[in-house]
Amino acid sequence: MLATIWLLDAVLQLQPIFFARGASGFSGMLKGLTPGNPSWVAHTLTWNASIVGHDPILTNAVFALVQFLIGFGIVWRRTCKPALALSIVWALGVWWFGEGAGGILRGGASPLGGGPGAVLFYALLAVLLWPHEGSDGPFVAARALGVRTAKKVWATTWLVLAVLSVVGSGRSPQALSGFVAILDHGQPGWLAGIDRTSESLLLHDGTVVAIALASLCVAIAASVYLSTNFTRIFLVLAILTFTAIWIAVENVGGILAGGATDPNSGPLVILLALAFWPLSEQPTTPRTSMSGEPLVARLARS
Amino acid sequence: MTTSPAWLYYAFGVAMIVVAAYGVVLLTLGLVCRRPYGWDVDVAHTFMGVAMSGMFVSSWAFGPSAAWELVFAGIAAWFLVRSMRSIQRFGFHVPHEWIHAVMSVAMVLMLLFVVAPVAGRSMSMGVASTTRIEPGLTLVLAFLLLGSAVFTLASPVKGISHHASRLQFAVVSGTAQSDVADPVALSGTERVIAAPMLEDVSHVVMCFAMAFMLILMN
Repeated sequence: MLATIWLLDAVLQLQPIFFARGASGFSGMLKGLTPGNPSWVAHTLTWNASIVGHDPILTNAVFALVQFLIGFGIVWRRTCKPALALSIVWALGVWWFGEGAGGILRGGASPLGGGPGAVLFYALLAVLLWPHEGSDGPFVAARALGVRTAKKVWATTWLVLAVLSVVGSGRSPQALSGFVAILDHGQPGWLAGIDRTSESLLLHDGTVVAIALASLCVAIAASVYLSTNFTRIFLVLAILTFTAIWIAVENVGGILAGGATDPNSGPLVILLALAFWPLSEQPTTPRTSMSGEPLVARLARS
Repeated sequence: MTTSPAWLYYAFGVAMIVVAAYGVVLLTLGLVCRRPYGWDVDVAHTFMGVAMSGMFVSSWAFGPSAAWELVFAGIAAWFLVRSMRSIQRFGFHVPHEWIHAVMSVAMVLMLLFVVAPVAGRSMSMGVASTTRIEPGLTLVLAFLLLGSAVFTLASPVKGISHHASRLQFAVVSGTAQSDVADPVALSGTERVIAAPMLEDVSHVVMCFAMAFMLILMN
């Protein structure tokens, strides 16, 4: 799934708008991240935008190629670790230079708008899904880091999301409805209809929504320390909540209107939740053919 | 309308021609060696490669759009029937024919919603249809295709994009050995050309190019 999302990002990066020069192109989008950031941060963003603006075709082709290599690299066992390592470095770079540190430094990193930066979740997932030869843990994310560390990562992530929901402009109805308004141009009719509802809800009850989201995030953070059944319930809640946010607020990352570089945080948070889904406690046996030999082994021999 | 590098569309166009040509080579080999499996995928890839190259580079397009639509509707129907037969035969599973049906449906949609390309300009720049495919549908299709590319490369069964179910049937039941055993042995060169890994790569390239074209149509 992670590889598929990286490949989707590579495809999105190849859209014509990102090869264009000027304010309507990729460099213009990057420059648009500077307002509200501290001057030293804005300086690095402007520097990056100027590099992209100097040769948008070359830089954008390289950006797409890197994401393509990460996507296909993750697929193969031999290249999986280097690809995941590259994805961490790339994600951190994009988070700073391409997302303006996710808007954290300008106080606008609400999870409703993709805060603290969708691309950070790629790095987080790369760490959690790092290949490990050891035995299966109680959930996929525990394989690489161990159960206790993985749970701490989960709890910290959701507590950060809770805090970001209510600090800065995160609880401002105008700012929250602005997340929807800024993306609603060019959306298909059904999504525009949903936008109108969510925009109106956030404009009137944005603060309540922000507090409710923060409370839910705290509960989700604690859920991995509860019994398996409670964990599952809160994971389902996390998945449903971020599916709703992804559609109604993030506008499917803006992909449907064209000009998006990634699907925003929704699918990645869902993938994160799936990585913590409690696995069956029943010992699993390899699927076998009628002769009793593992099917995959027989197919490989064929 | 923003400009975009022509070389990118030419690169995708060339890749599509290569996939189509490889499909023809596999078909020929299949006929010579009387291989009973995978030919339908080769036929589909050949038609898709030729049609897609015409979408990326308009000067390479030929034939009436309606004819192409009919071809891909027929191919989609073929793979859908094969998918259903596979499910009837082996129980509920996702047969590999299913993704080829999805690809064929995507081709029909792209042909339906893209007007004739402007001569000398790449198709994507000439997309000027008054109606467009539902963007949500193009995203779902693109995601399925990219997922198929990842699944194909990650699968321990090489050649899964072309004839997985046949092999599976033969292995599981042990009753269809004639399906997988080549009546005419392949020579060394032929074995390299028809390597399952190469078959998979051609499928992956096709999936990636089609996903790109679908995203361009948003």
